Amino acid sequence: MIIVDSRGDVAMVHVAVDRLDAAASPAFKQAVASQVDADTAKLVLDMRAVEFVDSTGLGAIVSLMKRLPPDGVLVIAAPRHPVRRLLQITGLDRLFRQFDTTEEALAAIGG
Amino acid sequence: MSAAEIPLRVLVVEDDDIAADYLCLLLGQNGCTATVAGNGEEALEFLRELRFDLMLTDWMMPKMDGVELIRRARELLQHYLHVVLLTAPGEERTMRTALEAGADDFLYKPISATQLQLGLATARRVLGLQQRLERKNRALAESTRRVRAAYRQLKSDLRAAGTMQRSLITVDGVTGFLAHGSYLQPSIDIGGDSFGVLPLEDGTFFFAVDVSGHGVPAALNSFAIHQRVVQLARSGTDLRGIAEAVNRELMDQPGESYATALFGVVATDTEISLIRAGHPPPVIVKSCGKAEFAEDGGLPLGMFEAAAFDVLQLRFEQGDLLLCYSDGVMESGMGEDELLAFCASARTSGVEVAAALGQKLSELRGGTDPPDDISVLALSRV
Repeated sequence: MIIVDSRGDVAMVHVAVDRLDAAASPAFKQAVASQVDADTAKLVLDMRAVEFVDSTGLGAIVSLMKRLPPDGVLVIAAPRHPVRRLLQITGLDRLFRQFDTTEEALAAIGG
Repeated sequence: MSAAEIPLRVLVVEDDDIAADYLCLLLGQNGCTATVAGNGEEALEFLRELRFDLMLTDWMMPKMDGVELIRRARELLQHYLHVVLLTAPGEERTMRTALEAGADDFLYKPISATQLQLGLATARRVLGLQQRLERKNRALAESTRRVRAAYRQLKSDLRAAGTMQRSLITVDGVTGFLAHGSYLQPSIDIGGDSFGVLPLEDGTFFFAVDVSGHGVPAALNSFAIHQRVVQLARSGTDLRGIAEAVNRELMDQPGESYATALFGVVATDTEISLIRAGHPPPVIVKSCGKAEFAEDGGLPLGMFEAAAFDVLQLRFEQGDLLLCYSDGVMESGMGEDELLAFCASARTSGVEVAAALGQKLSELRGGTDPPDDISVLALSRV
């Protein structure tokens, strides 16, 4: 479901499903809760493998952001076109900065 | 009662009276009741009339030998009968044929008391296992029957709920300046998409909602939002007030519940006011055939307390069309470019556009259920 890779104070979460939808979201949230330290403040969500996200999947990403402390930051790396478009349609592109690669995302949030 | 104590009902098939009497004596000493048949035909008669646990049959008998009797007994009986063939040592070929015919065990003649006790012990163990298996099979069959009945009931309830949902929210007709048509196809019988059109004192209000998730929970939430939106609109709440109220109420719900929505009002004959809360951007089609997305919009409902919802004003004149749809349209295989092209070529009334789009989406899916709920609300300015 996810692979977590710590880079300094940044948690790199590689999402290893092609669909983050109503069926996959509960397991995604559970995996994040068990594998990402509760005090993590910087998180890169690597979405390169994800072809499709629905509103429940978006909700799961939003709840991941809400887990972070007030000064926390969540950015999205390598979103594919449908995911990028969904973020744009829902206005969440204004809340989640997006980067073409994980390296760019890490550099931007200081990993 | 242990397996060793199970009283067995035994059919002895033996044409030699002395041998039969001897077997009956031994069987009686081992807690069995014995019935004797002097030949195969008589044995089959007994098997038709009475229930036995075990058949001990001689091999060499006139008219019908033991192997043939076993074959016919297996064809005749529905229940398990433990079958032992009495044979002579060194008859391996006969034993193989008898095994294929359905024999379970063999005893060598002359039968000793010990040999018979061992054979009965095996029979009791197998019959005990068989009884347990039959009990479990009966319990399994009963469970399956209950699960099937429950599934049928559930499916029937869902269908009824789906029919009710459609009748509550399907809106085809003319209200004020708007001719409106709709298409609703939940991914299962009921879903989380909803929409409505209602006349207000100062214009015509319309909305479309897509609650996250599918099935019954999404449908219940969608129904509640539908009723709440209608109530707010009728009480004179403006578009922003409606969006903010629903956003706040979803935030207050236990668990996590999100929805995307469009709220709009046509108050004059030239303009439409719209709030897009995370819902796919509606297509506005001008009477000249130009189609484009109304992209401006805000966040979905139920995600952020402080979400702001700006009202968008669009020119909406006679012959124009506004197509509102849920993201299930894209999941059915119609991309945004295709949707624009479809709208541009479909310069007819809202009712016809919704029906044609529904038909097109159904064709794209090959008549299968969609992976996500689909709703379409097409509004044309009359």
